[in-house]
Amino acid sequence: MSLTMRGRSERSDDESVFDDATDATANVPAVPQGSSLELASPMPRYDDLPWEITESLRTIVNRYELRTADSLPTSIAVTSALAGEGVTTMSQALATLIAQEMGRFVCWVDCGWLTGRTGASVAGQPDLLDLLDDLAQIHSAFQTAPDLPGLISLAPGPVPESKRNLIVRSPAFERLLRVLTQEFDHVVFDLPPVLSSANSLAMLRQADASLFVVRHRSTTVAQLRRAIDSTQPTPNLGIVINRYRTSIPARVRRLLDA
Amino acid sequence: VSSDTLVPVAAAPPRSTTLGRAFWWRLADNFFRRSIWFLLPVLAMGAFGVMQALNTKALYRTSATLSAGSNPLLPEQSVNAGGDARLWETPGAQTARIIGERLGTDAFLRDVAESAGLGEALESGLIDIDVVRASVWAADSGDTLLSINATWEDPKTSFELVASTIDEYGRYLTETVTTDAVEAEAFWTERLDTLQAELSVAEEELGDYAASLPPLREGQDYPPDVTINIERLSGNLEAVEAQVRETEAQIDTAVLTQSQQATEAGRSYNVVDQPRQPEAPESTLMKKAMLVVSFVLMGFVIALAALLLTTALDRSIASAADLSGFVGLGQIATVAPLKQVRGRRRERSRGERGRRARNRPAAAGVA
Repeated sequence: MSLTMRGRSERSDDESVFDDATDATANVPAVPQGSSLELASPMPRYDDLPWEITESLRTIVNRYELRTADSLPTSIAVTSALAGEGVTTMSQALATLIAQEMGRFVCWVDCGWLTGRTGASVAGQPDLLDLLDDLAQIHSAFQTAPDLPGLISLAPGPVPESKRNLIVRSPAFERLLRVLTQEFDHVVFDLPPVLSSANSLAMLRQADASLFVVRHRSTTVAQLRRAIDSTQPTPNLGIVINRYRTSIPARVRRLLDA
Repeated sequence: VSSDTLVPVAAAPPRSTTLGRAFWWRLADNFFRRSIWFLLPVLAMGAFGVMQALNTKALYRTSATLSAGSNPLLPEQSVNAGGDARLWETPGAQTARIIGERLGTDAFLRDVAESAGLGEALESGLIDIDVVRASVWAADSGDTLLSINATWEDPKTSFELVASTIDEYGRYLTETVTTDAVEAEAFWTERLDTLQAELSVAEEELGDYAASLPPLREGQDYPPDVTINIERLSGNLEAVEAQVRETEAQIDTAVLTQSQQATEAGRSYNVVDQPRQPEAPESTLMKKAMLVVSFVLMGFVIALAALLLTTALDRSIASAADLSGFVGLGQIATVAPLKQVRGRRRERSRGERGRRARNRPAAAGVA
């Protein structure tokens, strides 16, 4: 099944930017059906997602839609204040959840290259620099989940340090992001921590909403407050407290809740 | 989805947005997460208290009851118009307070200890003065009654401490009351010595002058100038003699005053119940229990201080209540650690396997 055949769930194939004759991606080859390319950051299977993670994300998504009476934003940046909070797991789970449960066409984008913390690019796949040079190669960079065709991942591999800062604000990169947000129902960005990467803040300009992941008993309240303040005015979907483990007995919790 | 899989969501922090609620969540989480560490000081102090209680020695207690109608050391009390009756102090309380104050001084207490036979032990450092201080005390037990109490490891010393305290108090009372009279006696005695020296000089001058005069023949008189000198010297001698007599009278008065005041001081109190040497030590059960409870309470205080300190110093996110100040509670979700999740999943699947095995038809089981 080709990308152009799937397109945005609510848009016809004719409207797809990939079919635009004037677009550089018009002649890109379609992603082969049932692609089995080895993933740099393998997407989890929907059935393998821990119930607690999906339930938490489901809660945040549902509450957001209930609160705003609006559908989920197109581009969502999942980030944290500090490194090692579980952003990749949450962002992948969110993308999988949206693709599976909402039947949307979702692209998960690994932005680890912003800080150099990303896996090596897969042999034979174009990296980010290749994509920026020739957007037509984007189909070759996409990887589909084996059991979920509506979920595409884009992990463009490492980028030389000298070029990272230039790329973030380059027109070519903005065009790539525009293509992604136009072509997919939802784009989920896996962003590096905002307190340690200024480029993450620049990326947040491209996102419609942010979702913060904090690790229980790791990030301080002040750090998270600073991180959320720094992402303003990007709307915040919510905060996932990861690895939340409390030793408070249920009875005491009920008392504290009362 | 079974009910236990709902635990992480149920464990989600409270709906309150107040900082106070966040603090209680943080405090509770801190306590239950490190409960062993916070119980440690309680257990350690409790164990220490038990050890102290086991080392507690049985003490012999002696008491004596004194009756005090008034106290000559204090001015007469009166409640005038506008005065505060709450400041009224009974004679028993006055005397007990004064004895307590004296026992607080090292000089008085050393006198008591020496009289009780503890002088050598104090000098050699075997016993600290504060140990003696903690062993003797006075307490009022009515308007005019007070008790002097002492505890010691042996009954004799306990008895001696009470007896010597009463004696030393009596001595102190007498000394204090008669101070003015004693000083007056000392003053007049010193004055008497001076006057007696002057008297000797005057007698010697008169004698020497008389010896220097030529013998008179019968019917002959001394010349007028000699007569005047003799009269002058005689006058001096008489004047000094008069002063000596007056000084001796003053001394007698001072001695009499001392005697009267000492008698009055002695009358200001009397021993109603004489101290008796105890035959058995007093029970230490209550003391031991109080010792253990005190140490356990001290452990609780230490644990509480540690709990508050670690809670105040730990600023990491402990619950959703910490975040409710700057994001809506509806935006917060919690995820349990995957290890915990997998553990529960294993338990669930194990339980399901067990249920399936129990529900399997007998025929299938045989097959």
